[in-house]
Amino acid sequence: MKALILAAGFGIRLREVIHGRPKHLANVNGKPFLQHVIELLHKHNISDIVIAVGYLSERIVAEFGDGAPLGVSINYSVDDRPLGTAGTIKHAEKYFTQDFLVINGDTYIDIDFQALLQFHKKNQAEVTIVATSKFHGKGGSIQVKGNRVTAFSNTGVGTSKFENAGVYIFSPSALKRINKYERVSLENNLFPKMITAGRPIFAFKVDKPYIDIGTPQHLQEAIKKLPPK
Amino acid sequence: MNTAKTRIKNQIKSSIQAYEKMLTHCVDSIEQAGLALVETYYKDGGTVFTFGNGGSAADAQHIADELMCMLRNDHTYESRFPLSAHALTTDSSVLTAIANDLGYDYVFSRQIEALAQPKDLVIGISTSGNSENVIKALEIAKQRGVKSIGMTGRDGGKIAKHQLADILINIPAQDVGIIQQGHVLAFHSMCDIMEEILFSDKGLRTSSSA
Repeated sequence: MKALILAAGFGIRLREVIHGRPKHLANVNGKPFLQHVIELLHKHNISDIVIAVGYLSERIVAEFGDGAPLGVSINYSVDDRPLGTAGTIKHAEKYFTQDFLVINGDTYIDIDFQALLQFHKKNQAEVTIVATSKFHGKGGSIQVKGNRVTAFSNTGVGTSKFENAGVYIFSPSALKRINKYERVSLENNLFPKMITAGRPIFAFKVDKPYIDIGTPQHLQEAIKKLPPK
Repeated sequence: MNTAKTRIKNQIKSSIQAYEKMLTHCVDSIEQAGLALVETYYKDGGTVFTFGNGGSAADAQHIADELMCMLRNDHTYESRFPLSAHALTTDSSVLTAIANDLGYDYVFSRQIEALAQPKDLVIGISTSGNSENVIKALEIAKQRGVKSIGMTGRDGGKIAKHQLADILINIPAQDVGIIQQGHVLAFHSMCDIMEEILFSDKGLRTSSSA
């Protein structure tokens, strides 16, 4: 299975601590946060990686190159402007012909990615979302019925028991609903559109919290929780 | 004898005519310039350096202010962070030292040589297209692989003739005042599309994104 890491965003809330550098390169225990994510994938036998880069793309490409020193192969999908999470995945479409893993470049959750893929295939889902019952407050909440996702909200937990952990399996067909170069977000545009159209979005439920570096406070927590040097 | 009001009206009419001509002559180049701003800031976090003489010096400073502060201050955008920009017309010590020791023609080129890197962008403004210090600065930018925008008027002068700028915004007018008004309109438009592309929820369709 190939993986797409989303690392194109501005990282507005982290600007005060990583001034002038991409947030994905924030130093966490002696290495860039993104390297922790790459090493996590490698640990789960995922070594064919595409990184979607945008803001300060040159710095991320310069940092990881072809990935050889980390034992993986890295290609880059370069956005020339903000496209939103869904737009960024669409822009990387040419790299994927089969179901692929999508993982936010600013979040980290150690789960069985191969089991996630099997779950996706078994359900014949178009998108599978990793849904955690341990709320962390970044990903937006998910309403589910059984394993089927029925609604999203970025505003508070509400009655939902699950939060989006920022890890997905996508079937390439899901991207047909997005126009090229359109600025689209997953939670606000693509997923609600798919639900309305009755497309199969499934939730892969886990009870692990995820780690993220979205805010200075979360970055400090990540430094405590991620592997030391 | 002409009345003052007639002169004012004529001035306004001439401005309207120049803006009308800009609709056919300048839209492509202003779009390219806006996209160059986007590229400079988005790809590698570059700085924009601006320069010109007299009224064009004021315009150079005006551009730097739009970039560092913001064009839209009505909170249209959730997170419009400051962008790196520097007008080369403001440090009197540097300007007088270079003018005194090397000559006035070098007041901008010397600073470009010191400050600009390939990831940056320079904007040189000359209503005639013939200001020697603006020409020298654009030349050094080209030698160093720094992308450039030239803002000129009339026939674009030497800047147009020798293609000294990667992107040329030439205002189709003869009068200096009207050319300068065209420059202000052009850089406001550049900043407007840059902010819309980088900071709005919806983005913007442009020629390069089909």
